[in-house]
Parts: sequence; C-alpha cells; structure tokens
Amino acid sequence: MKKRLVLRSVVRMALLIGAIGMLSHAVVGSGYAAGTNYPAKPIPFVVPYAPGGGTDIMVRVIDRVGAQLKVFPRPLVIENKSGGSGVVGKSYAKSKPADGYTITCADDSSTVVDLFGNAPWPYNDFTYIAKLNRDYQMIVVRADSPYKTLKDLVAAAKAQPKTVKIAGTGVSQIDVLHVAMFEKASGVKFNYIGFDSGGQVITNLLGGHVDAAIANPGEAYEQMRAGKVRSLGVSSEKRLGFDSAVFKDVPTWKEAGVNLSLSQWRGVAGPKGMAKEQVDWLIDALKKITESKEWHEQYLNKFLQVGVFVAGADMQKEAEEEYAVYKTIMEGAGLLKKK
Amino acid sequence: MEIIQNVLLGFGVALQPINLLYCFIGCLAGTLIGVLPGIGPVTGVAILIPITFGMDPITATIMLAGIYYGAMYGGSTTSILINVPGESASVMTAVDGYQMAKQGRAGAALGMSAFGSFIGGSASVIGLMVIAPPVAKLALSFGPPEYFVLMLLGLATLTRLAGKNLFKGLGMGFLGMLIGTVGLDPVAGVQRFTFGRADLLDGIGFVSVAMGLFALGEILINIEGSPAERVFSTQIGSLMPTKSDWLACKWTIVRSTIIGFLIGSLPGAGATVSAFMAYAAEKKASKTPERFGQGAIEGVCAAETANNAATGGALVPLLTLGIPSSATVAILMGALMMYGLRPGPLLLTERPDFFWGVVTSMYIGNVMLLVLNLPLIGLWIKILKVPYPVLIPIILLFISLGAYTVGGSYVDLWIMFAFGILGYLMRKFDYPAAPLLLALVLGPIMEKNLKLSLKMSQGSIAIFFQRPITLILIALIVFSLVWPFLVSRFSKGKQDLELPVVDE
Amino acid sequence: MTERIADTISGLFLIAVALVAGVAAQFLPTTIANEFAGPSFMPTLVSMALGICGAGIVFQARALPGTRRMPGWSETDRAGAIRIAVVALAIAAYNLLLEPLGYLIVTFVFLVFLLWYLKVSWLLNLTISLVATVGTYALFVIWLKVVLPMGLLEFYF
Repeated sequence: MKKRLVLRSVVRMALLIGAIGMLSHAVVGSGYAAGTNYPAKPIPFVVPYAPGGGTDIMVRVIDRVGAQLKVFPRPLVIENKSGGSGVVGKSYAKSKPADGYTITCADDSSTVVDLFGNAPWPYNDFTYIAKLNRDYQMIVVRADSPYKTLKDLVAAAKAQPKTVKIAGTGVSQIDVLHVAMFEKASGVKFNYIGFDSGGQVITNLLGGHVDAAIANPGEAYEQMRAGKVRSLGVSSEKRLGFDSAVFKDVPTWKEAGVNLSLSQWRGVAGPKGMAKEQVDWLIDALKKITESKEWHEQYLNKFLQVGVFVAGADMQKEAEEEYAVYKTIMEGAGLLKKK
Repeated sequence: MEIIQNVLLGFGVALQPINLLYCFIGCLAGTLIGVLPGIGPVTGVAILIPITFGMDPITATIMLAGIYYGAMYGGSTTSILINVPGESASVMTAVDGYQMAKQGRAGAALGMSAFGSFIGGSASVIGLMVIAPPVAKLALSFGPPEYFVLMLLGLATLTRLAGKNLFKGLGMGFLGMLIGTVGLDPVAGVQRFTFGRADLLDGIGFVSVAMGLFALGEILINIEGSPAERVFSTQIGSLMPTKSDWLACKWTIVRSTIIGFLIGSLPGAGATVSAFMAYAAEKKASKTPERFGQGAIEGVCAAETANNAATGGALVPLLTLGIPSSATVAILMGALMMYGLRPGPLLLTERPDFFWGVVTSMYIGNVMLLVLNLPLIGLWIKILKVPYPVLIPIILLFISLGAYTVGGSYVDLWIMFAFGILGYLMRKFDYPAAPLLLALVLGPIMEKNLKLSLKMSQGSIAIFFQRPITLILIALIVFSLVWPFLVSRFSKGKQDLELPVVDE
Repeated sequence: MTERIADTISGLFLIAVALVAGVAAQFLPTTIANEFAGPSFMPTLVSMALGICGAGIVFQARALPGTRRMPGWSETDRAGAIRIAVVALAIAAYNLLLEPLGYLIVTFVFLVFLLWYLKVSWLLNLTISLVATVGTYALFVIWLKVVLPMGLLEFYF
C-alpha cells in the first residue's frame, strides 16, 4: 500500500508541475502575441535538411552573423529534422503555434514537392518572411568531353534524342524541372539520371558514367578550378562575378543560344498566421544580417551564392508566379503524377 | 622519398600540443558518442561542429575526424554488452559479440574489437597515405551498374548468413528488401507504402529497426523468463583476447582491413556494407562456419576491423577529389568549407600541411583510442554485473532516446516497438535477424542502381555484361553461389551440417 | 508447440505478408513515361520470392517429426506472457505520452513504473529514475543539443 502511495504522489507532483507550466504558458503566451517585447526567448529554427547541407550552413551562418552583429539577443535554437526533401521538417514547423517562436526555411523545394504530390500541405501555406539568396544552375561536362560548347551538346541531343545522359540531384526535385525547362527551351530530349546527392553527380560525371550534369556553381567550382570539369553555361542573366579565373569565360545560357534563365532560392518562413510585428521584426533582423560585410564574407562568397532580399508579400508573390511557371513545365513534360 | 617528407610534415603539424589535445578530445568525445545508441558518427559530428567555429581549420578538422573514427570505435561497446547496435555499422558486431558476452567472454570480445579497430583503422590511414590516388580512381570507376552488381554480391552472401534453414534465412532477406521499398521510389519518385506519412518518405529508419530486432526483442525474450534470472554468465573471464583468439583472428584482420578500406572508399557503400561483407567473407573462409552467430570471435573481429578500416577509406574520395562518400563525410566537407577550406582535387597540392596533418593525426588518434579503450573495458564489463531488472528499464530508455534522436520523430519510436515485437517472434519461431538487416541496407541501394543502370542503357540489361568491373563481380557471385555445392560434393560429411535437415 | 506447427504458422504468415504486399504493389501510382522498371517492379518481385520462401518453410515443416518440440515454448507460462504484455504496454504508453507530457515527466514515471514492476527496492528505484532522467536530459539536451519534447514543462525551457 505504501508503495502505491509513493507512486501516486510522484504522479501528482508531475501533473502539478506540468499544470503550472501550461498555465503560465497560456498567460504569458498571449503576452507574446501582442508583440510587446519579441523575442523574449531564443527562437527555434527548424532546418528541414540534414546537418552540413546547403540550407543548414545558411542557417548556421545567419545565427553566427546575427550573434556577431548583436541582432539576435540570444542565439537561435537550430533543430535539424531532415527527410522527404524537407517535407518532414516543414510539417513539424507548421505543427507548431505561429507565435514567432518557430521559424523554418522557405525554398523552391516546397513548390516542387507540392507539384510532385509529395507534400501534405499546399506550397504557399506559410508566413513568408524573406528570401535571402539565389543559386544558379550550370551544365557541366568532363574536361575531355567532345562537347566544347552548349551548342555542341544541344546538337548532339537533337541528333539522337534521349541518348545524351545528363546527371542531376534527386528524382522529384528541382533539377528534374530545370532540365525539363532546358529541354523545352532548346528543343531537345536528354536522358536524365537522378542521383542522391550533388557529390554523387560529380562522381559519376568524373567517372564517365554520364555525359553531362546539371550542378550549382558551388558544387562544380573545385572541379573546374582543378581543370577536371568544364562549364558550358550558367543559368543566370549575367555572367557570374565569382573567382574570375574560373567563371569569367563561362557564358550564360542565353549567350550560348538557349533562351532561358532560372535559379533556385532559399529564405526564411514560419507557420501560417504569424503576427505582423513579429514578421517585421524578423525581416528587419534578416535585412541587417544580409546587408553586412560578415554575411558576404562568411556565406555568399564562400559558398558562391548571389544575395537577394525579397520580403513578405513580395516574396509570396514571386513564389506564386514561380509555381505557375513550374506547373506549366511539368504538364508539358508529362511529369505530373498519373493516378 | 617524397612520402617520407610528407609524413614528416604531417607529424610536424599533428604533434603540435594544441592539435594533440584536440585530437584527444575528439577521440574521447567520439568514443562516448559512439557508446550512446542512436547518436552515431553522423549526428556526433554534426552536433559538435558549432564548437569548432573560430578554431584553426586544421585543429578543428583533426578534432572532427577524431569524433568520426572514435564513434566508430565506441559503437561496438553497447552492441557487445547489451545487444544494442547504436549505429548501422555495428550491427554485425552485435551478432556474435552479444553471444560472447552471454558466455562470459565480453572482455575478449571488447578487447578483440579494440585491437581489430586499431589495426583496421591504422592500416587504412597508411592506405590513405600511400595508395589514395589509385583507390580514388577505382572509386570513380564505380557507376550505377557496378554498384548494382556489388549489391547483388552482397545479397549473395545472404545464403551464407542464412543459418540452418535456407528458406527461413532467405525469407527474412526478402522481408528486409520488402521493408526497404517503403518510401519514395528511387527513380520514379512516387510514394510507396507510406500511407501518406511524410516521415516515411525516406523509408524505414535502419537504426530503429536494428535496435528493435536486437535489443528490444532480446529484452522481451529475457523478461518472459524470470527477470531476476542471470542473463549473463557470472564468470567474467579474462579482459583480453587469449592466444587462441589471436590465432583465430590473424587472417580475419588482414582480410577485413582490405575489404573495409576498399568498400569504405566507394561513395554510397560505406562502413555498414563493408562490415556485412567482411563478416560474410569470414564465415565463408572459416572451417567452422556454424559457430558464427553463436559467439565466434572472428565475427566480432571482422565487423569491427572492417568498419574502422572503412573510415580511412571514406576519406579517400573527400581528400583527393573533394567528393563526400558518406553522410558523415558530407558533414565533414560542409565543415571544411565553413572553415574556408575547399576540399577538391587541388587540396593536396595547395594545402599539404592540412592533408598530411589530418592524416597523420588519424594515426596518432588510433593509438590514443587503443590506449583509451583498453582500460575502459574493465569499466564497461561492470555493466554486466548490474542486476538485470535494473538494466532493463535503462536499456529501454536509451534505445528509445536513440531511436528518437536518430530520426527526430515519433514514427521511429513506433518502428522500434513494432520491430521489437517482430524480433521477439522471430526468436520464438527460430528466424535469423541478420539477413533482414543486411537486405534492408542493400536492397534500396540495389534497386536504385538497377533502375539507374537501366535508364542509362535505355532498358538493355547488356549494360551489366559490357563493363570490366561488373564482369569480375559477376564471376565472384557465380563463384560464391557455386562454391558451397562444389565443397559439399567433395566432402559429403559437411553437407549434413549445411543443408536443412529434412529426414531424421 | 511442436516445430512442425511453429514452422507451418510462421511460413503461412510470410505467405500472407507476401500476398498483401504483392497485391498492394499492383496499385502503386506510376509516373514519367519510359521507365524500365516501374515503382511496382521491385515490391512485386520481392513479394513473389518471399511467398516462395514461405511455401518452402511450410513444405519442409511437413517432413518434420511431429513430436519435436520448439525450444523456449511453454503452454503453462502465463506469468511470462503477462510480463511481456506489461513491458510492451509500458513502452507503448511511453511513445504515446512523450509528446503531450514531455520527456522529463514521462521518462521519470516510465522508469519508476518499470523498476517497481521488476521488484527493485524503492530507494534504488527512485534514485535510478531521478539520476537517469536528469542525467540523460543533461547529456542529450544540454550537452548534445538534441531537441526533446518538453510537453507540459515547455514553458520552463
């Protein structure tokens, strides 16, 4: 009997502590929503990808620069929840209250998983905060490849459709769409081979298992610098301004005869329905960070990213326009899922 | 000799007091992290990266590398003592290691895995110094068709892991492959058997399955008997492997080091596959294969030697080509870039101090780990003296934490629960667990590479017969399947042990 | 239970799994034209192989002598079955309650309950439960920065 009593009192204590916690949460929680002194505690940032990846690095640099500039009163609580091309982490973030104490990443991957039917929510069901950078795509070949220019590659693919093997990252991800857009603009058909990671794409390109690859400047830079890989063109409007010894002579796709420019982007968003004060506070903080010298040094230049700053409603508008473009492309390429 | 100069340069860097200190910290933290189930090398390195900001890049990398191979060392401890494989690479260690612990030979198992890890680890560092460029070239020559055939070879070893009843072993293998098809189809990208759940898109987490089948299944079996009963032999024998253990493992270490290093250097195969393959190779080479799974020290030695040799191998593509060959190495590469280093083909020539400093520090780190781990064995063994009723709840807590941490999701807790019950039933109905896990690892890689190969060849299977490496691997598969029958033809007596007994 | 019956049951179970998976595989969605081995290719193939193995086990079981008993089975051991059920239910409850109530509370109660059920003395029980709960929290959350659900106590952290 005595044992029962002890057990019961333990459970009671636990419930009591919990009840106090919940109560105070409710009381003070409403205080937060009024936006009096946001942020009153560290902000958890859900990174929906594995540690060490491109997005993870971006968030960690935001945190570091934010601390250096004293923009964030306390460091972010970075939580990696990877899986399903970001769907797992974003779903988790969306399940949290939109009280400003959960933010996550926004990127074109949300649009893509929605289009491929792998997202349990619509792509724009977020509070958009700010778009921070662009990343371009390049078509690259091995240094000893017979294709000297983008025209050579396009001509070869035209002569024998679906025989030129082009490697990219993922199977229901943005590279598939971008290759489809390239095919449409140049009037060819490639044989797209989707690998698990950018590293595997480069491995298979170097090993001669594929003829070409679609890769970000950051993924191909070291191989280009070592003279193992050549870039036939980049998807930006203007030539890239990074390491001029490597990128000066890389034409844009438009210059090389394919009338198309495209990019990927990354930014910050939160669960739908965040208060305006909090969104504004975050926009302001991110603006300070991305305008700083530290951001350029530690992130943009190091990882060959192009900085942009599009906030709030403008960002949402851009995302919606992009969705419409991608949807048309997918319909044209027969990529939309058949039930 | 250029290499001697380089090694001297490396030792000059690695022996600086600050680097020695951080090498030690990395090894120690790695060992502890490896002991925690669920937190393997991947999570361990990721968690500790922020600490390294602001440090000198070489020092930081030395520490992170220490965590990486230290965690590989530590992973064997829980596998052997309480049948909890903390990460996928130490699953095969648990198979024989836990049986040895039950027989009172945990000391020998831990000791042999420490020595095996040391020898495998240091030999792979030497391999990294001496033959990295040709190995990197070999790794590049593996495209999807080669991986497909390599995985087939791995699955052919299923017949070896199957145990007494071939149908039961193969059945578990196919069940594992079936479980491996959950998630996104690797080429079409549509969902399969996910029930619309986002956390199943990437498939069923291997660590949760392994901990369920091994650890939870074992607990349920033990609790069915009297929980107060001793599970482990009260006699805890010597803390070190005996002379006969060493004799038994002599060639095992050599073979497993080579297998571990080569397979570890292949991007996408990694430590887990190499441990499986080394184990299967030992079982095949053994004169008494029936001892495997019952506490054969060669089994422990093979798995641990190979997974540590794989860590050196895994750094070959990173340091020579700038290509990450595994998830952990990818994180390491991200860290290097944040430090302002650019891993790539030019790293070796532009920053020889970095390359040789890190590589020689790994050699030093392996010595440190051995010195660190041998005294710890005496400590770990004390765990077995803890009364089982006290041990059960703590093990349950640790595996739950591990399953939750590895995926950060409740689904992993439930997966572990379900596979715990399956593991219990498999023990009751006498089914082996290793084939299921092997197939769960190899199946998805095999499927992906089969489909990619067919896409490359536009549907023609001729692609598998036109490439030199695939032809060699196919010959190996045929040999490994035919060999047992040839052997049994010549030695009739052995046949009765191998084939399922039908008449009695 | 005899080996023959045990193998027959488990073999039939594998056949059932194979059937369900094999049929389910035929309803998988398809996409992108020009696929050489669609989403259902592998599951179908593997289910067939699994079914064959199940059939093999059942077939072999027929040849087993009907008297050989399965080791580790006992028809009379009700207590063992109850122990398994209790531990399994405790784990299930832990999984269910972890998120709403939070790691610290649920873990502590879970440990106290199991140690009590396994007849560990109260003093040892509470000491272990407290040390293990706080210790793992310190290790995982504070040192390793793993985010664990805090549930009711979320406000305090």
